[in-house]
Amino acid sequence: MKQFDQQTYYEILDLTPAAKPPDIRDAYRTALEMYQDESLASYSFFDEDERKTILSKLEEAFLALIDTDSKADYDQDLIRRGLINKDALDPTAQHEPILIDVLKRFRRENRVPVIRSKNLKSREMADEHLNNLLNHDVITGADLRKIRINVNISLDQISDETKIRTTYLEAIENDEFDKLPSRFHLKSFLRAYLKSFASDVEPYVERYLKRVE
Amino acid sequence: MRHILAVGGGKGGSGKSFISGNMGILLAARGKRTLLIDVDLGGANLHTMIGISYPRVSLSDFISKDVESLDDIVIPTAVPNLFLISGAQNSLDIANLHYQQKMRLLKAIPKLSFEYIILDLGAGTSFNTIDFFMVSNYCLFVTTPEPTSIENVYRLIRAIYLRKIKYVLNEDDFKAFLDGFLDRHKGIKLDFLADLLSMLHRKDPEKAMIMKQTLQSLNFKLIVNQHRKQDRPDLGQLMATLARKHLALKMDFWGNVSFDDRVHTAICSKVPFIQKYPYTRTATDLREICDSIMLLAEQTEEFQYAQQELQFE
Ligand SMILES: Nc1ncnc2c1ncn2[C@@H]1O[C@H](COP(=O)(O)OP(=O)(O)OP(=O)(O)O)[C@@H](O)[C@H]1O
Ligand SMILES: [Mg+2]
Repeated sequence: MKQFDQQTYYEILDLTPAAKPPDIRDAYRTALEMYQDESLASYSFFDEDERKTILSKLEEAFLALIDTDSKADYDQDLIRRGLINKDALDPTAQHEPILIDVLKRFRRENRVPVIRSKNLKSREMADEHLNNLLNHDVITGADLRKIRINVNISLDQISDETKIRTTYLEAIENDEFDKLPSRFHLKSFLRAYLKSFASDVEPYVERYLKRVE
Repeated sequence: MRHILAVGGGKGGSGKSFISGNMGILLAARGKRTLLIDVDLGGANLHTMIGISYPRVSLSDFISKDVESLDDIVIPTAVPNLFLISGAQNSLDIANLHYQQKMRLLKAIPKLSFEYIILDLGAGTSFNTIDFFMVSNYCLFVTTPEPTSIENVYRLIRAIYLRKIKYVLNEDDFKAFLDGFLDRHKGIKLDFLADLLSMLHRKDPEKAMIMKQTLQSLNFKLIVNQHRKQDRPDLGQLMATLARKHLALKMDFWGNVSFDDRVHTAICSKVPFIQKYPYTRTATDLREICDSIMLLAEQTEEFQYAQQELQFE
């Protein structure tokens, strides 16, 4: 672990050396949201001096990287000092997911519950139907399909929300277990499928899976 | 396997007992034998949260040695699979437990046979409270999107963090090293860990490695409760990132739990929220957190199982 003032501009902004100006701008904006005076997230985390140090370093990093010429100079310097590898500048190079990706993904995913909450009524209906199935020892894909159609949700919608391919969802409803990559996938896809219209999924997952050896 | 989850966070009603109680009900409804323990001695009210007005027995009976075993003060609840050890009628504050009383309780908890044990630790950051975090498998922090609550959560995280550091540097010659270091670094400052690791590395490289690994093994989870529409949705994510970047510890953000006026209504009617209002955004949020708990437990079990397999090979 490096001291703060030993970190490269990339480390400070959670970027890779291959970052393009839009990434750099995004990263700087996120960093400001995290570190500036009014930031709720870092409230009481740093004292005033530390915050000043961080903010001025962030600005320094942003200005050095956002300008293509100055970034090129900085990169050459890092390569000379052995702090980064030349290949790291190649945008096609494999890299670890950086903070900005994680946050973007989180924001995307976080919109999902908003859509879902509109469906609370249909969820209530689905729960009622599902509840009736609890008397049965086993549940089939056809049972689930009936309920899904009843509450008016299409497989495409579920696929949109869960990012699971429609063909796999169809396989679940058709009891075609071997069309899924593995038993583990079957279980986790089934869970995700059920979650998109039901509140409590475990009892149904269990009853469905009873038929798979 | 037994999963002990400690719930803590800031004072001022961030919702620790609300979350603990409703998680207990959800886990139990999914067929998991679950025990809630109200360790918030002095401020105990978890029983009320799940609709029990007068718990017959409580932790005070165990602490005063009227009963031998914790099993004797476990009370069943109206929810199948859900049990409670109440902290009610306790004149003691957890911070004032004697060493022996505390150790007896700390040793008894992991011996209980339940699938899930949830400890409501209240708002304390006292030495004793931190001990209870230490016997848990997972630490769940509940904050609200307010600076007061966030400040408290960070203080709690630092207290646990520092305890871990002290634990690693427990031998005599390291103790002196740490005391000297802490004197120079008042509070946990920006370069606290980087400095600590580099100085420790000079003294004993192996110890520095152990330190890093131990801190990384801390398993912190964060919930932002009473989240309103105008609050930023990624506050918890940013907090988790700060903890990772500056304290090198893993903290997963488990999501927001929406604010709902009906939480107040449910508590007043002494019916658990999740039962009274299952079709609300807040209930959906709670169920998602329950999913996260179960998933984590499953992964932990798989991991341990894989490790056992490796040992046999
Ligand atoms: N999601 C929510 N929406 C609306 N109100 C809430 C929510 N969560 C908690 N509350 C309110 O906050 C109050 C305090 O909650 P709770 O008792 O769980 O806090 P606590 O963290 O356990 O407090 P203490 O530190 O005193 O033990 C509740 O009485 C309830 O009215
Ligand atoms: Mg409480």
